[in-house]
Amino acid sequence: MRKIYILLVIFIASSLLFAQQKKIDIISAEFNSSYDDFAPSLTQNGRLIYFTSDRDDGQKVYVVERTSDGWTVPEELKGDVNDGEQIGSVAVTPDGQFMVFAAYEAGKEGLGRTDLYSARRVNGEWTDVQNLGPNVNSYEWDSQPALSSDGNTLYFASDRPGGKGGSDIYMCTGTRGGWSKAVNIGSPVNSPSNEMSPVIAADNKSMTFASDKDGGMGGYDIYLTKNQGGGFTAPFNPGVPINSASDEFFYVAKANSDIAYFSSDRPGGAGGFDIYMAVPNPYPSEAVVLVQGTVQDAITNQPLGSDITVTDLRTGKKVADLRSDDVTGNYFVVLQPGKTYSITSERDGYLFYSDRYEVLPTETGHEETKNIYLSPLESGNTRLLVFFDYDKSELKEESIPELERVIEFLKDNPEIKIQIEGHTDDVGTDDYNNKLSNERASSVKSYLINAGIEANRIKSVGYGKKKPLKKETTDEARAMNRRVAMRILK
Amino acid sequence: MKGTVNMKYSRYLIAYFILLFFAISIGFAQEDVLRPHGKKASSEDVDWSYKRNPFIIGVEAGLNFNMFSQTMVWDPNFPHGTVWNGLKSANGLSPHFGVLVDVPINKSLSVQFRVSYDMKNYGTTTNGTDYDFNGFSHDMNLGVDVSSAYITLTPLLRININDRLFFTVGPTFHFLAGDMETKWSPNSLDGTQLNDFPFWFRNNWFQTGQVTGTAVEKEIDLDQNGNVNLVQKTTRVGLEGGVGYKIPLSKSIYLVPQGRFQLILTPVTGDTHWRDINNLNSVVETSSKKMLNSIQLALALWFEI
Repeated sequence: MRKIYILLVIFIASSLLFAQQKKIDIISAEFNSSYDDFAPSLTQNGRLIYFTSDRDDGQKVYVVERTSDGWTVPEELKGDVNDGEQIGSVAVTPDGQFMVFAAYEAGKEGLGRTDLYSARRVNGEWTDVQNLGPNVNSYEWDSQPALSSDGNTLYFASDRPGGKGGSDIYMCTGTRGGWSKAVNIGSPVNSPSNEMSPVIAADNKSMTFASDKDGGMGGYDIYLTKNQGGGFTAPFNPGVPINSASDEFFYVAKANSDIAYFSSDRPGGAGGFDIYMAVPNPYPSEAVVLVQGTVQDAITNQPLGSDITVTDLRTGKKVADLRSDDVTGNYFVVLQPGKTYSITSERDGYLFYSDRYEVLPTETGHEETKNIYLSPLESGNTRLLVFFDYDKSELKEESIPELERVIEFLKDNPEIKIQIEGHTDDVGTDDYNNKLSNERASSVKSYLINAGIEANRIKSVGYGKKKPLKKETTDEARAMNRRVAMRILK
Repeated sequence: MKGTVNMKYSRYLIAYFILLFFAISIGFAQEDVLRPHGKKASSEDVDWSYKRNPFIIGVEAGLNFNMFSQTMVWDPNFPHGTVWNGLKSANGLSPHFGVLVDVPINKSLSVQFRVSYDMKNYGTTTNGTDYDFNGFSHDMNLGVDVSSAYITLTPLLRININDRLFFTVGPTFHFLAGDMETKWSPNSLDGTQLNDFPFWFRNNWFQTGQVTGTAVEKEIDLDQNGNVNLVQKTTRVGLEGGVGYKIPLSKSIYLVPQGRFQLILTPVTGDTHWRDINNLNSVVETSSKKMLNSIQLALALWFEI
């Protein structure tokens, strides 16, 4: 019996040991060259990879696309981005419409040595190159930017004076309109050694960076940390096979995937620094919801470039500003689980679109397609605005952001007149519902007038239960019918 | 003797080429988006295009530390005191002022043209002995100060090591502005009158009874017929190597401290001879190889255009 117990213990211990020794394949990317290839930045969840290579006369930004036949041949980025010297280490927002990159000189004078610049994708070309300015850049080396998935937080490396020593990782927040003053993210991430190549994962919590501090495997090693409520956890060296005696930089975990990309000059590659894949990624970031779709003209189905805003409805905070591609109309946004968002799309000449999107805490790790159809700004077109609780005409708190967008829309288009149309569900008499729908329309009208919209531009009407959105009599259908919509009168 | 001089210059030249090679080697390590301190050089990836290198104009001022040396050969049959030995070397400080234009060749190299008003003053004071007409030795103090100024034209190669640090190397051309003048200040320490000494027996300088004084004369030589010739070299050629550091004051203005060494290959004057006043055919002393080198410390303002 005792022997059986001993054998059982050995069996369990062996099982645990083998379970922990899960094999990780390190695979060289097929688009590597014999020169340096590094700093992969994934967009549209890895369909496109922007990276830096000095394969042709200095460092430049290249892009490859994943197709059913594999990776395309890397193309040097067209447009204004590569106009200069030593360009690269690009960070692109997940939607692929905005980037921050480093350049010794990006066609225009910087603040000193290598600086950070931004560019936007307009009509399929990267353009509008702007120096990020003195809040971000210094007279020293500022490089290797990383953008959070909402595009609102920028991390980068700099060897400016006043840090912990060598190059450190800095952070600033902002929007595409401007950035806050960069701050050193301090210990435990930064040390007297050099810290570089920060990468923030799609969950906006998991961070990787490279450091040449003591205790590593040689040269620069990848370290992992996590932002937990404003502070970073103690960095962790994942060891082999991700790190080696050579240098490793830019560890990028693909969202909701078991693939990570990183750069290393370890022996056996194509030459110089190469981009490698670690499969399966032993340290994936937290799962997120990836929403993608196309913005189209509701009449012609023509793809449209439009400004898309994502708002956290619980906090009322704008969490992402992005833009659908001018050529393809594609957009891509990363949402965090356990939150309710409104997604709004706006474009000149079109009635704005917005929709509520709830991501349940359990609803992670998947991609969702949500196409957006924008109606031309023409008389008769309607736009669903807000919903009401049963037998109520008071505006719900969650309706306020949508009404604020109506106010903004009316202020931007002063020639537009609208009709506010109230509706009810099918419960109750016609007279009662007519009165209730009028009250609902009046609630919205009053809110708009109180916000400064001229009363003569707004007509309100109640249709009672005569124009249901859903014919069914389920609770869900009735909830959809208790609504107010806006009609363009012009 | 000439061969020795050439060997001496050769050593300097070799040193400069080593410096140049070192500078170029480091110059390859230019920063990029991955490496703040640049990529280590290899024979395959030499790329001068790493650097931003705009057109520059500038003004500068600084101090020259001038180092003079000469060879003095005496007639062994002619007695001379030890006070003269102090003239074998001299040094001094003097200012210079300049303007410059820096024209980029590529991202790491540029050609710099600098024009300076370059004052080269040096002198020495020495205690020793000298003999009077009667062959008696007396204690003397002798001060000698030479003043001169040049318009110096310096075409240089500037090699950027990184965004701040650079080396310069190139020839220098010095054009004498005015005459070189030497102020002699003998001082008899034991009260012997200056015109009791053969070398100070110059009535137009020192009168009977005078034991101390000063006299200024141009750099001349006396030939065997008693003719006086101006021996100062009006054009001199040299080599310059230096190092500088750009401190940004604004986006396009830099304060640039620099240190340089000017090795001047042309002597400051031709050879000079002191002759026996009673027999001008007899050369008592020959001064030759009158070399003047300088260490320059300069503070410049550079404006990127």
